Amino acid sequence: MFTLIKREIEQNIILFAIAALYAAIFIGTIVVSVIERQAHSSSPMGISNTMMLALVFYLPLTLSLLSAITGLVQMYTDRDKKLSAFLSTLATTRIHILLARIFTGVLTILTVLLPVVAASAILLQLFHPAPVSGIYTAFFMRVFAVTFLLALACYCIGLQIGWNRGIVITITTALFLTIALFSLLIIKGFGLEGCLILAVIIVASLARTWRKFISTSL
Amino acid sequence: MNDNVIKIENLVKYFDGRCVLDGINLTVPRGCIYGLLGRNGAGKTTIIRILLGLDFPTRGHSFLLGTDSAKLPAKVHGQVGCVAEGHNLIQNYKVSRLIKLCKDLSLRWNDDFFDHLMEMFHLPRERRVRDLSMGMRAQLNLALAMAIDPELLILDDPTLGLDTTSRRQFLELAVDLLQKDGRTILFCSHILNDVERIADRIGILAAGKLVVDCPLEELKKRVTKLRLIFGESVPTDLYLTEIINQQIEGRELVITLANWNRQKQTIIDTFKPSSCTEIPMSLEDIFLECTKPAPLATATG
Repeated sequence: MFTLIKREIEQNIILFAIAALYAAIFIGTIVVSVIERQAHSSSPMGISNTMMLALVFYLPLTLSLLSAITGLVQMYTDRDKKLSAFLSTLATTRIHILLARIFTGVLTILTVLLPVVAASAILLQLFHPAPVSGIYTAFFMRVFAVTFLLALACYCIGLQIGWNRGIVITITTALFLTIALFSLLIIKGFGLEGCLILAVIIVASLARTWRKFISTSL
Repeated sequence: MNDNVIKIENLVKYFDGRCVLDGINLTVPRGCIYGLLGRNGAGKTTIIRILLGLDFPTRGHSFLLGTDSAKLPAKVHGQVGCVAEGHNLIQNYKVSRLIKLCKDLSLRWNDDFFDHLMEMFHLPRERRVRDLSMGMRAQLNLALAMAIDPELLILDDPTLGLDTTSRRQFLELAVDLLQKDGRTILFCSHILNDVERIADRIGILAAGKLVVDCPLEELKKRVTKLRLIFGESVPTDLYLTEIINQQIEGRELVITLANWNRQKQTIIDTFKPSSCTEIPMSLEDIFLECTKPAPLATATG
């Protein structure tokens, strides 16, 4: 299993590099916005608009797109280059191959999300007094949880759609579904209802991908 | 321990409504080198893909080392070496990286033997797989399949792209090493000389059916081609069963029969042909006769 995960990471090293670079740029932007706000505002209450907008809008949007692309690239490359057909002749099974793939996909999401969560927590602690940071910490934890679920849902959709042959239709469908899921977030917000809907989508999409991958001819 | 390394029961496979395999039954005992023959599109690769769990049958079952092919665990995969048609390796990998991957994903790995094969085939480790010639890819695939010390070696046109020397080297090596320990080989090839050289049992696929399944020597004994010349014309009431092929030209009848025996000889003798000559047949001749679109007969044993 470790070998398969290592292989998946090596195969998708560019996606990991993009994720890490994106996380770095994102953190840089919110750090600058927080410092600027501290320099120009006399009120200790509230956080910078840029940080708020970045965390509740740009992060979910971009991370869901990146996740969908990750799933899509993993499956499309597999089908195109017949990777699983070769791997299946070695001492492994399709289940192991798919599990390693999903694990790697989740790792890509966390490559972006974890540093952003850590940076946000540090910024809140450093630049805001206790009551303010307490309120925002709870809020952002919810935002990060929903963002993670949204990214995971988009990743699963990418996996599911990526097994198709036509590249144009595959990308278009993945893009459309990602935007649709993001719109759901805008409508439902970061509440429990949104979480439940995303959880259902994740389970359904994973089950479909699982079934397809296990029973398809390689 | 199950003595049939491969068991196929009533295997049926349709592709887009077209029947490719029509009720195939086949068993390959341990230690056997089984040569599976058939024309392009006869279903040889489909059988292998189903056996390896890469594809699924429409009906029927297949078993590898006693396990249902559709649910092969890693442990069974690890005992089966496979050389697929077209040598479907990971093309963008360097040879050394592919070797490491295969080694890490194996249950056993014979380093000495693998290094010996790499040296024998003169394979470069630092080149990418896609930059290797077809022949080199075939050799690499063979070396990878044999390094795991397999219980069963499945070879789907393994010598395609190899020069004569490498082909012979490989075949001798495969037979020596694998048969010594009672290992089994399922061997599909278009090069009938190769099959004839190494196989001890032959299966011929035609029109989705396994029309021949018997030991090679028995096949040669059982399939007979006769040239019969009659006094006036070829009798129309020469009713023989298990005719594989027949051709009439004037007074001459060239007939290929399965399961040739004394009874059939007697039937022919009653028509008093002026001449009856047996035409010697190589495996290639038998294969061609069996796969011609003519009345099919089976030679099973």
